[in-house]
Amino acid sequence: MTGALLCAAAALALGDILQLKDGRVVEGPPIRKDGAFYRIAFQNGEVVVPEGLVRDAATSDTKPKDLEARRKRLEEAKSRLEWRSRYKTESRHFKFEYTIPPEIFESYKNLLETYYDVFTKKWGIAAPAKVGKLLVCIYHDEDTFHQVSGAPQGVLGYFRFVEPLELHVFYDRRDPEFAVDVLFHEGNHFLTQLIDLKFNYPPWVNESLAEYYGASSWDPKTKKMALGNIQEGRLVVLWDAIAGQEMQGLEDLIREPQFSAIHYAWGWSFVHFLMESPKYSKKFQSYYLALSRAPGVKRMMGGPMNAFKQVPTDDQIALLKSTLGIKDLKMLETEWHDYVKNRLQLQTGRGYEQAAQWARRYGMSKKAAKYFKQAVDAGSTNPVTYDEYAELLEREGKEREAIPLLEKAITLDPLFAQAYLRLGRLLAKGDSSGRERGEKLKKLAFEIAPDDPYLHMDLETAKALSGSGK
Amino acid sequence: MKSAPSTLLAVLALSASALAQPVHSDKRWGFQIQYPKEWQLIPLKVDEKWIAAKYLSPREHADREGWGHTPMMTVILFPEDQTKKRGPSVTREGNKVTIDFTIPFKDYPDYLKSSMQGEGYFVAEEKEDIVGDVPVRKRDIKVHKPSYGGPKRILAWVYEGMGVDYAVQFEVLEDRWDRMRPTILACLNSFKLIEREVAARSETKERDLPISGPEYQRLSPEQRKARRVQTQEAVFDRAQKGLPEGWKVKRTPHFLVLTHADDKYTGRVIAQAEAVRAWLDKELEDIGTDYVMHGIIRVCANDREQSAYHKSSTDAYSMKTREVTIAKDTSWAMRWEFEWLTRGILQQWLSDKNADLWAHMPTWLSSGLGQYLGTARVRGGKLEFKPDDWEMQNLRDGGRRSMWKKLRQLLVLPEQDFNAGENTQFLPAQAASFLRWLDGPGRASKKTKTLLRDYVRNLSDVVADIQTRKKASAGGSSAPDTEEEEEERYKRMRSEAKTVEKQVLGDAFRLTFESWTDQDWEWLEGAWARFAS
Repeated sequence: MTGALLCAAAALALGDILQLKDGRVVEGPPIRKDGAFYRIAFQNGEVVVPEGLVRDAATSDTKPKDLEARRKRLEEAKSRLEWRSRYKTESRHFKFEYTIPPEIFESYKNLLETYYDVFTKKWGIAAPAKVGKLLVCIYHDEDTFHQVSGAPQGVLGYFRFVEPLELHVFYDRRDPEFAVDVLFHEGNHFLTQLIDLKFNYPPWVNESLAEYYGASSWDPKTKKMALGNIQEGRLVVLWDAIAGQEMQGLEDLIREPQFSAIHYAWGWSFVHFLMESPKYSKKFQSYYLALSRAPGVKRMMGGPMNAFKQVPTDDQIALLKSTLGIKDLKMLETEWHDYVKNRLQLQTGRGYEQAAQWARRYGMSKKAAKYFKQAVDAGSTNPVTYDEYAELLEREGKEREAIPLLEKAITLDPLFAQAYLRLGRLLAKGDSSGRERGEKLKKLAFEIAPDDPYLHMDLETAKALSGSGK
Repeated sequence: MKSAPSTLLAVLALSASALAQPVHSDKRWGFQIQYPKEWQLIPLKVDEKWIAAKYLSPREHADREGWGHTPMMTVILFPEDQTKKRGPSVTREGNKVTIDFTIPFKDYPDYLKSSMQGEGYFVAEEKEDIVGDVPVRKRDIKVHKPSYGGPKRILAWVYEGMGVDYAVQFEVLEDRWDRMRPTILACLNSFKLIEREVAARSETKERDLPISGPEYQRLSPEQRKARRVQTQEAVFDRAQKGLPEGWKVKRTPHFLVLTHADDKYTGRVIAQAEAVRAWLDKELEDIGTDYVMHGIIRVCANDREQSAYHKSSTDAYSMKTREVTIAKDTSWAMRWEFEWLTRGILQQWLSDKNADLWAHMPTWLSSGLGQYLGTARVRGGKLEFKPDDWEMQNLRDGGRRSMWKKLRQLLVLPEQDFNAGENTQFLPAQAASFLRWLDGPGRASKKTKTLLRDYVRNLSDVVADIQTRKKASAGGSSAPDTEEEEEERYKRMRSEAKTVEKQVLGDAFRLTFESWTDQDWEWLEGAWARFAS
């Protein structure tokens, strides 16, 4: 009895701590377990976290015999968020360093091993003997990714194709599928390099095939991947280009030395068109391998340190024409443009989210609302989608419709400060009880994320618009 | 926050017998610290808001692959009244809401994240300690994936003062760490808080006064000129304060030159800059009436000093300084500092003289002009125009591979097509070569003697007309009622830039060449092709 009390007292002195399954740690406010929920008592309100979202917790009501072990595990989990204390492990073909929770990591590890086997078998690739295990670094958020990997802003993942070979990606807790996309994309660069370590594929085919594979879906339960899906984010970019009358010429795409985001979108659609076409699929795969392997293809040294073989652009075009059996690139271009305009369509709720964001960015609030609704109807689990949809409805004065969306956003992510702020603002417009609750929710948002600049901007803008600003 | 405490800064080089290292003393911010012997004080950017001092080692070290790195010490200040701000400022004036997205750094890690973009690093060790009686947080940072060169080490100690935190960081190559560690630790352990002198606040109004944009455009020509002159002089005044010992200041007719190079080299830089300015004033005088501000030319002694100068806080950049920085001695195989200088002056001149024209300038002209003027060099006070090897090579290859466009096509080519595929390699050379012909042999023909001037004047008129119509139609459309109307508006908006570009290219071309026959074009294409070949 005395021992238990001491433990409880120690726990109280040390403070309660909780880690969510997505890796975030809450420490500071008192936390208590209440049935299937954890209740975090912030000064301005209680945050209710369903047990299903919690990875681990050490609170004043944790059983004394478990408390010390739990606290130790949580302290370790917290320290693992620092790159200096990262996890390290290996699998058959990869070495991993990561700061994400091990349960999330496990799925990504299995994905890469499955991908390795599926891709090398389909394309008949045997890894050169001297290739060691690829180092894969997975970061728990985008900031850490940029900071530790050195990737500039705008880069969402990268494969280092000169020694030492490395692959860097980050986990987006609100969109876990994002890391899957990036692993499939960047992993493709590694796997295609195994064809010939000293061969550089031209960007129009290298990045475009990586984008094609990047759209693959992954089932962590069956450990199976599926190919040929739509890169919905890229498709939305193409809609935008088409609206701006910016159709991409095929020859210009092939000759493009600086591959930018718009070229990724066009490139993906071109390879998708070829890979999904019964007429071209096999021929395109032959072409891909012929670039690096076929005898009689002209290859010159280039790339970093002049150490890589490359096929001159004119020869790429000549080989493409002969392999696909076409005389004129313009005809192929027309077929491809028709395919983009008429055949490619959104497939998933995530695609509707991306379409909604595109429409919102360009001031098409009605179209954005339509896509947001489709994303919600498709069962989106992204709290940002609900928050942004609610923002749109709020602007249109449909505040009653916005409130349940914000409540859903908070259910999906009980620590989503932006949603508390917006909900607080909406409630504060109502009757006196609503006003009181609303004001508390606004304060709660700042307690949850005191340094979030967007939160501050949102509040300041609302103040300025309501006339109480400077 | 104020800029670095330059006027009160005193660098006390105490004798070696008294102290092993010289001392940097800053009474305004109330601290002093030793810095390594022979390390050189580097000037700060005119609008630097965070860094109080930078010292550069006199020695460059090579990493294992031969990349050079020069150790550097930086003192960064975090005053509490600045760092507590957490979000953008939002202000409202009538119906206009302005959001200022500049968010001050909240602490050293925040500063580091911003200043080290593109360099992969992590904090390998972190602990709290006391130096003298000052609490300090020590961080050992490994830059394991630098943007180039070998791994580096940053040792950063953040001292906690009254209302201000002082961060002192040393950056060295990992390979040199063991050797430099004792010197660095001696400096970091020498930090002391001293009595602060309260400096008079001298916030100059010019910071808030726009020198471009709609508000500026509403002023009369005289008011606009006065505004720019006032801004220019205030900037010049700030730039000269706190210039380290050994730097000289020269005021020329159109520039403030801050130089750490010898007089002969500085003289060459000034001659080039003034000749470029004179050429622009003469050849393109018709394109606008606005006052072209005088700019700062900063001449560093070498590229290491230049690179250290540019290592500033990410919010230290200001267009108002109209600054171009070059270095006398560089380790680069290609010398192109005069081209950099010239292109910088050209861009500033065009954007000051006629901002609308600059924003709408056809790509063939902006690209060609940059290359044509950029490769010009002053001799005997006048510019000599000669193509460089890059231009000659691409001109030759473009001709050989039939990548040249007909001039009639080139002059109406939209930016997207100018930069499409391999055009981006060959067309800038062709555009420069055409300007070279116009300003050279083309002057001998009555048909093309004033062609460039005429074209630019017409261009200026077309742009002015578009701007007038744009202003007249502003705010006229109502909010769309349906999704279809919304999409229509989006499509119009999405293609507007293209429509305007097409109009600018087409109208300037039509006004300039309306009397030209097919024979005239044939003659021009032939004359230029012979010149280019």
